[in-house]
Amino acid sequence: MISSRIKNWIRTELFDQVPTCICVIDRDYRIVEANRAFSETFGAWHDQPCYTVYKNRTTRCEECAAAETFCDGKTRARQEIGVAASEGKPTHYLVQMVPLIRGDGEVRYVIEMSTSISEIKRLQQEKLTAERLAAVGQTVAGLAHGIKNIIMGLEGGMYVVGSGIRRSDNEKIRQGWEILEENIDRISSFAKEFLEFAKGRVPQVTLADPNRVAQQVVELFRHTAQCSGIELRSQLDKQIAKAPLDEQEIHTALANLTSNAIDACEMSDKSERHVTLITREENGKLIYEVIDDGCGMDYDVKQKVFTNFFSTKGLRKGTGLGLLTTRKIVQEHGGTVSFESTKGSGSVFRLEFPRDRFPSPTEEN
Amino acid sequence: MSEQTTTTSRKILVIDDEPSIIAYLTTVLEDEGYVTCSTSDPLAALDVAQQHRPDLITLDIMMPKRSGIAFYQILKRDAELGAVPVVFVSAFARASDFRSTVFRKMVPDETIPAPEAYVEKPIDVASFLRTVASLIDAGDSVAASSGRRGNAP
Repeated sequence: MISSRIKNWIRTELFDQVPTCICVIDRDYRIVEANRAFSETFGAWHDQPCYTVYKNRTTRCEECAAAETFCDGKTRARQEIGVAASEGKPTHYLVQMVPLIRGDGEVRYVIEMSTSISEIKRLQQEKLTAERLAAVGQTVAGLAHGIKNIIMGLEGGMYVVGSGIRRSDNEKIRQGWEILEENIDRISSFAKEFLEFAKGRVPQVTLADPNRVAQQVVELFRHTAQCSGIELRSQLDKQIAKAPLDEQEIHTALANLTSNAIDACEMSDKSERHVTLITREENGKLIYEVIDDGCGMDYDVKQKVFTNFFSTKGLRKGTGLGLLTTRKIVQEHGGTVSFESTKGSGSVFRLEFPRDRFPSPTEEN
Repeated sequence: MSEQTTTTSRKILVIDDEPSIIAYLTTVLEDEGYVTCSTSDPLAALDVAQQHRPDLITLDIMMPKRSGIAFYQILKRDAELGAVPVVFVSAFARASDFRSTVFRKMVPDETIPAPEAYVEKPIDVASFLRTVASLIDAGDSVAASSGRRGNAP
């Protein structure tokens, strides 16, 4: 049992001892009571409206959480930015509105309890900056990797030509010259693709049927898959709701994944190979999955999947920008790309789009 | 798969999925007097190695169908070919990182030894040839001390 002394302390002292800023406002938004932490953080408050004390405003906030609580009597929490007198600069805080309800149901007062989250916000900002820098670093490293490979090709071509001249071997000279031409072509297509990637485009988002673009991709690759003895299937959730998508970009992303899946099957020596494109809805998310039972990826390939210019497809088939482009498109739609892969068994690439993070459609279909 | 013969003794197998890199490395090695054989298909590489019994293998890492790392593990477990020194030639990692950390992350099995050498693309021809020569010389010393002879012509 809690002692009466402690009970008494809670009644009389806790209000002033807690490190949370608490104030009580009336229906005119005037602060009628506040605790010590509130006074220390926001300064003088007697008979002043909360919006003046919190935000130096002369009028009520446009979207006032307290007004909503006065209206519906519900407890709610919201992130706000105010000016703490103790810090003298904008500060982020989480404020909870708790109604004080009379017997007749009227909300007479609202208690506002605010906790500073400026430190959390600062850390979030630092993390975002670090992620951006890491992405820049990764891109630069990827570019350097691509260039190194081309330098190897150019040096190789020059060496083989030189060796042919020394040996008076025309065949060697021709072979070296071909290597040089091939690598000049390669560096110009790398430069073009890299510029294309860096430039990007403004997404043209319209409310679209997610299944339609999936079906188009399946049709596009059906013949290619058939020629390689691979069965390309689709499992589309017919109930799926429309979503704000840039159909052309989603088409590119799904085509990249499907093309990769077909390549992975081509590299496998299994007798039956399948690629399946799935759409489904789960926990407020639109999900696309491209599943293959091809060769799968081992450790070193998995580590580099999203690195610029990384390709296992050899010189002629891949520039290594496909998955990176896919990730960029998905991120522009507020989504994420993930994958699971087992060497020898196959891979699943998954695009997840939380519906509350989609960009706003520019027009409606 | 192809084989080029020159006047000297030692045979080197070049494995890389890019024919232009094969042409480069085999030309460099042949100019130095080595015999070369090569393949751009990592799935055929073990057969090629069994057929030609090379004194050294240069191996790319990023290849479709089978990575150089996967092939290396198969090779090192092979009773007859396991002792053949391997020089990885790849742009996959920095040379300083590869043998110290990257390789062991990819091949946690301690029974597979770390590769004899790693040369970063683009190669420095002189340094590449020094690496190859030192490994072949080391192989010769081992063979001489055990009274065994390698693939001398």
